[in-house]
Amino acid sequence: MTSSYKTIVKDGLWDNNGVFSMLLGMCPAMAMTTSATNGFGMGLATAAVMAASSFLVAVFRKRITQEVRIPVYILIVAAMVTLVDLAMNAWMHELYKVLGLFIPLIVSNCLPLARLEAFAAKSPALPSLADGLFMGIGFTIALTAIGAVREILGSGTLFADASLLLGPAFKAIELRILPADMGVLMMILPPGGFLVTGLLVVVKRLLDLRAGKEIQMGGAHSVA
Amino acid sequence: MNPLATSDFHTVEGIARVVCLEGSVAWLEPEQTGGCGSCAASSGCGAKGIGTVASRMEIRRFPLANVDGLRVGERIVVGVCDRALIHAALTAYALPLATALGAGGLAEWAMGSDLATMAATAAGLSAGILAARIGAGRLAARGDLAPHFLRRARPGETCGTGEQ
Amino acid sequence: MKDFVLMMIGAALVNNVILARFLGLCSFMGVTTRIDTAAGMGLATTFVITVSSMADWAVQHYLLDAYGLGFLRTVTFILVIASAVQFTEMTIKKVSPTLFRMLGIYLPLITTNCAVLGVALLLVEGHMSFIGSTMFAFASSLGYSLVMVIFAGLRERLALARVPRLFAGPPIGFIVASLLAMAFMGFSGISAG
Repeated sequence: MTSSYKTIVKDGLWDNNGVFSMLLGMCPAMAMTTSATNGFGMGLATAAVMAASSFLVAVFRKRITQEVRIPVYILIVAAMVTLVDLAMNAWMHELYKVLGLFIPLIVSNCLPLARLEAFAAKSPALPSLADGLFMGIGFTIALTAIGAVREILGSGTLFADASLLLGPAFKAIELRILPADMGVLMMILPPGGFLVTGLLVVVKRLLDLRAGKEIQMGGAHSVA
Repeated sequence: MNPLATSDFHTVEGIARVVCLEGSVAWLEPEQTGGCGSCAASSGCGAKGIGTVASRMEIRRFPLANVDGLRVGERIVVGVCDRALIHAALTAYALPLATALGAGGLAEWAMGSDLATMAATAAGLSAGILAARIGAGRLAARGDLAPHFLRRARPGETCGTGEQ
Repeated sequence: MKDFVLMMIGAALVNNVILARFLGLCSFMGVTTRIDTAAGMGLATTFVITVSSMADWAVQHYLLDAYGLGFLRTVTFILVIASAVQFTEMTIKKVSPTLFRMLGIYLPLITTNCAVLGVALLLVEGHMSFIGSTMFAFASSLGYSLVMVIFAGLRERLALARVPRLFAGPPIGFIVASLLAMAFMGFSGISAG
């Protein structure tokens, strides 16, 4: 069952957003969003894994039998995660140190596996690549949003350390929005993670309501 | 058993599906719930995680007396006393763990080498598992472990973890 | 001995697996609607985390470190954890089929959430001895169980309250969790020494 590319993009970015609609991938969404840059980096790493593993699973989907399905998916995701882990260690070392053990934990992130099972297992290679990629980009947007809110409220900056973590070209987006002593420290600490994520889910529901769509209650239950 | 029975506050509910009928006994298979709490039916954690590499639902089949004219494919709610669930979980998990860690701690204090501690922990775990077998026998004999039929599941009812 | 106890308290309360390290959130939100299921799930996860951490330590020490195969850690740990889960299931089934059936119906499958893999990776970073790592894993999972049960109690109360429709379900759960996280931050003074 193939969907058009337009649906894939729209689903991945908003309608079926991994964090705010399906409520998957919560662990990195709250742990690694102490700043917008961290959220962005984490999201990109996950997007890379999702795109690559979706593509591979779709390519081999005819050969994977029903019984070994889940172990094979997990092995593919684990292999991709190892690659991303090593690559980041080599080329984006600062970001690697910040993200720490959440890079290997992408394996246990429900989101890649859920998309593999729901989409890549039944669709051809290129749409699956698109789906993995855009779900990952939607995830990145969500994480960056959470990170941005927490960072602005917590330390008053936006995209601090972007040049350090992502490369000198990104120095331009480092901003200071509020004075340094106006920050609410709680936002960068764990309670802030829970709070901001919960409130942003409400914001998305509000926006959906305004657009006249159904509110998705309780996460992924209502989506086909 | 009243098919319209609803559970009181002290009953834990679970949802199972009828897979086969043998005379007056219905065989049920528990509905799969992921650790996320969202059903396998949804497109969310339908991935079920790494753990389901290992276990399939067929080995969890259990029989129930078919008093209500159940048909294959129906989803029903079964219940058990909540104290029984806690006792069962403690026997199965806490007991072997306690003996394993106790044995390991003793070995470390007595000998202090990693290999000895590992061996002692393994031995403690086995001893705990044997103890758990005895404990489980006693629980089963009291009849607490058997699930009893509560009612048919309503169409939207999910996984028995409760929509609240 | 004192360091040991401090380490365990740190693992259980100060750096709580759920509220400080953000591991195992999927099951945190999903299984905590009743105290009994949360407690059962906590016990099951404690068992799986402790046993698989023991195995992971052995694999790390005797296989990965010895032969310089550190990059294979993710894949091997997953295999070890899956085997540990399989081992747990088979053992319980052998020990008592009735027990197995009952736990199978009411507790979700002992799936690996981030917590199991996360704790395993954390103890690799800790470079402790076997018993130290095992106790760390055990204490972390006890902290996990504690928070699960507390949160389940909170949610049982929450179910009786009138929550605005926009907030119902996960959002109000997260907001309550943030309050719980704030409460647990009070423990951070313990390990200041």
